[in-house]
Amino acid sequence: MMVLLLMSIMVVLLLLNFPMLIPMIVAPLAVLVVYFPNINPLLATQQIIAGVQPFVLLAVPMFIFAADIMCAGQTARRLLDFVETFVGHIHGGMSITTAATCTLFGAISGSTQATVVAIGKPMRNRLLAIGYEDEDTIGLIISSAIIALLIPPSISMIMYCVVTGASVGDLFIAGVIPGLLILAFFAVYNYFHAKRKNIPRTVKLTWSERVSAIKDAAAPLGFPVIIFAGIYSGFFSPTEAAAVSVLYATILELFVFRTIKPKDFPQIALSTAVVTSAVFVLVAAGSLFSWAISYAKIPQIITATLLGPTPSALKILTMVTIFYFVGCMFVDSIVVIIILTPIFYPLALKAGIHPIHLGIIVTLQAAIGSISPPFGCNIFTACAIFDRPYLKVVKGIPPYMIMLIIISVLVITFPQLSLMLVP
Amino acid sequence: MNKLFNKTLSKFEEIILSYSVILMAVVLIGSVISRSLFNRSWTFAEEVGQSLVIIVTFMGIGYAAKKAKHISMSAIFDLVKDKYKKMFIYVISSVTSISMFYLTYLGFQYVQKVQQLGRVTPALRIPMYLIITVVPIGFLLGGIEYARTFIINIKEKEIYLSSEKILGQDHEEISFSEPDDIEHSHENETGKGV
Amino acid sequence: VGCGPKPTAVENPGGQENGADTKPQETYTWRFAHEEIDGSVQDLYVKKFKEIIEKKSDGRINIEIYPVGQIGDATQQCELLQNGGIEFGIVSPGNTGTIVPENQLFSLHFLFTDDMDKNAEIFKTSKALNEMLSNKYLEKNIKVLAYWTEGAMQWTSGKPVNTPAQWKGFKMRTMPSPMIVAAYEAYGANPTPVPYMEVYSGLQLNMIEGQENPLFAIEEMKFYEVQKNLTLANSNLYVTTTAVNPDFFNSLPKDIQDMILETVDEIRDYSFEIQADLNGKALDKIKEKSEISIVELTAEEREAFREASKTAYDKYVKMVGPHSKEILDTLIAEVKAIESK
Ligand code: NA
Ligand code: NA
Repeated sequence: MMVLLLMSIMVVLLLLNFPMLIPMIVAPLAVLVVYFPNINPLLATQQIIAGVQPFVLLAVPMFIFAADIMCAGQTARRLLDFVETFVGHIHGGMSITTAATCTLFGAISGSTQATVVAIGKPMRNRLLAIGYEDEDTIGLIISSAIIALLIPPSISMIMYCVVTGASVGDLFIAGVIPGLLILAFFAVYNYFHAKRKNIPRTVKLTWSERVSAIKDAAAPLGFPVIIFAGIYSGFFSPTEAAAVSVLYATILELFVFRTIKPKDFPQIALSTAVVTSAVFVLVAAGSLFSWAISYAKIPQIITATLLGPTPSALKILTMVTIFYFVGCMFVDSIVVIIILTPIFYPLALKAGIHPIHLGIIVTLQAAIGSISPPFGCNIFTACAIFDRPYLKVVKGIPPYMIMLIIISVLVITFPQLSLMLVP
Repeated sequence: MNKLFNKTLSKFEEIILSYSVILMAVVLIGSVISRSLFNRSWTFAEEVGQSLVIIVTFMGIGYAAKKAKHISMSAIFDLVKDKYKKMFIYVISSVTSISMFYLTYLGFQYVQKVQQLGRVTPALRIPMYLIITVVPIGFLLGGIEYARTFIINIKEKEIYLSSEKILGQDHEEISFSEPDDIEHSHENETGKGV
Repeated sequence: VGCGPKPTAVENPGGQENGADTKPQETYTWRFAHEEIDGSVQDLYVKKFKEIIEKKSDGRINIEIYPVGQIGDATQQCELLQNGGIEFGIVSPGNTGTIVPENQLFSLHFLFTDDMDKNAEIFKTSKALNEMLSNKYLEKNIKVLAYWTEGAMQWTSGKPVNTPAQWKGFKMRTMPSPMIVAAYEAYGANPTPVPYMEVYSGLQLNMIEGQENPLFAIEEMKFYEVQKNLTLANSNLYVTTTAVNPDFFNSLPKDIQDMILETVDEIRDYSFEIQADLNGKALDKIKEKSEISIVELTAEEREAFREASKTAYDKYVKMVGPHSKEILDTLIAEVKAIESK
């Protein structure tokens, strides 16, 4: 009954075009008020605030801010010109580059949302200018961004290890092959897709032309170098890297290219703030939603009925896949890992599943969940930063979702894909 | 008078939102520089960053509503005829407004509780209730904004998605309301003054 | 929508102040939240509590456990307890110095003895803790039923840190609490707050050079994978408390209240056993799984740290207020008395 009440309020209000934060808040509040009269509803405020407390969330507005500055000035254009001189003549060259850049960026950021904003904003404009369709472009960007969870460092993986006691180092390494596998699938798909759609290509440039493009991009190219070098030398954390990229973009645009003036900054910051707010109120609401679910012990109730006393390994893995996938559709992956892992982990161990293998499956589902409607966090991040309606954003996802489901099946069936690199 | 109030409120929201983001960047960058170059960590960087995120998130509710930036699933809404759209908007704006006023009430109760219990931030020992007061204020501004949307839809024939955005109008970039607007607000509106 | 301003903590109706009127068949369901994973110190403690009290009450009392911060992190759990969202909680001072500032004395180094049996006696008998500090908790709507420890704090680091001189400018990860920061500043370190989930990669990438935690946490978080030295410093105890919402507690009939107090008393010793057992096993696991060099402080080294740590004591009194001096002095006197037994 409780589940029915929760879901029906959610679905009805969502379909009626309510701002998403309302169903996300009203549905769990209704459950608390009806079923737990001992809880003072003022505590809902505590959970709503708790949702935006994690320090890592700061990376999101900082990357939006940096991307806004770079797009307002010349940094983004010069970087992309540079890339295009090398890959522009290949079918799908620029879209494959987008996927690869997301993967590379994922290696510094544990957050799929940060990847969407940092890479998506400049890349989308360029892809549209070349002649890619908007839905395809957004689908590509938000799907490639999920690789950030599988390529270390990854907060989701650390969370899994904390809850289960698995080795963080091992899980980090184990994620690399599945992560690259996703990239490979996306790259091949984009090659054929661009060929079929006849996306215009540039003529292959000579090396002297490329050298001049390198010169143009020299200063902006310092950007990725500084970010990577800074993180891997321990100068700053991935979250702080986001702020450092704001500093670098500011220096370039303000003093080197002189394309924007100090008085432009409050303006850019304002649009950053509005996008951040639109995304973070949903993160906040999601936190209340998941709290109500945990408080009511709903996952325990459902798994107990579905699994039975001694489930087989295959049944467990199937259930894990479905539960994490569905869970991540509604709330942030980290929350899902905290709630569900303690339920499944002991069963999985008993059935002989390797903890690292399970960790990869969990991370992969968490990643996929971030692009699955209704509450894929990448979807509403994209809605906010690209200012596109929900349906337009969702429209480009299906081909990627199909590939990811195939990859899930591969990862479940072949544990070696996860365990190969683990010492 | 009403218009002057709205413009002033917008300006106020804009300044808070914009400078909070700038301050976030300054604190994080300052913390990196202080730790890396002077080997002195800013123990307050984390809580200042978190507080600013809270401020931006909640103070943005009303402003994002005004600019029709809140995310929703518009699939069915986009399909229905205009006269039904108007009905959708009535239901959405009124229920959303009431929900937000209720959340304002819960928020103020929570703030009072936190004030009584006296929690402070870890490093700077700032009373927590001061920071989280932005939560009910944010919901209040959101509630007011959706109430305005409801009212303007009753008064006008067009379908207003928000008090500032009419369905079918091209979206405009978010920008600071010019100080001039406050004085000449009547001329700048689309001629459908409230 | 029912939203009375005052929360009622008992789920089942009844539970009047007047014990005589209570029907014998009345049953209770209470929520008990803690921050740690399955099989950890807090988890074993809470499970034991559940086992004993459910048995004692012949099944009239039913405890629902919420582990791993499933319903919020430490601060949120504490607030839930204050507001009656949960009845019981394991509330750790390290995380709640923002609510009960006096409890930050547990962050001071070398406050207790090096002998766990004596420490157990101190926790049990101390007036400074069980009366003076508990009253401060009560002012914030938290009733402490027992103070106990999850083990002593140990240091992991890249370079050796067994003398205070080696700490100069050392980037030590701490929680953002000003007392913990002061404790390490006393050694000349550069305390650097980093969120718990980012500590592993922070150590791996050298953004921070070391961290402090009990052995079970060091093993759980795999910090030994990315650190060269483990210094068994026993610098301070990771203290925690078993706490209950006072309004809820006072609303219970006398016999049920007694049952709770009795149960807490019975598992007091058990809490010391689990920490010894789990921390011992964690050390074995760390030895088995890594090449980390394990250093014990010599008596002189300990004395040097003890001496250096004194400036933090003054800071505690200065920061929390003059009344905290009384608590601290009383506790120090009690420790001395028991230590010299
Ligand atoms: Na990553
Ligand atoms: Na999600």
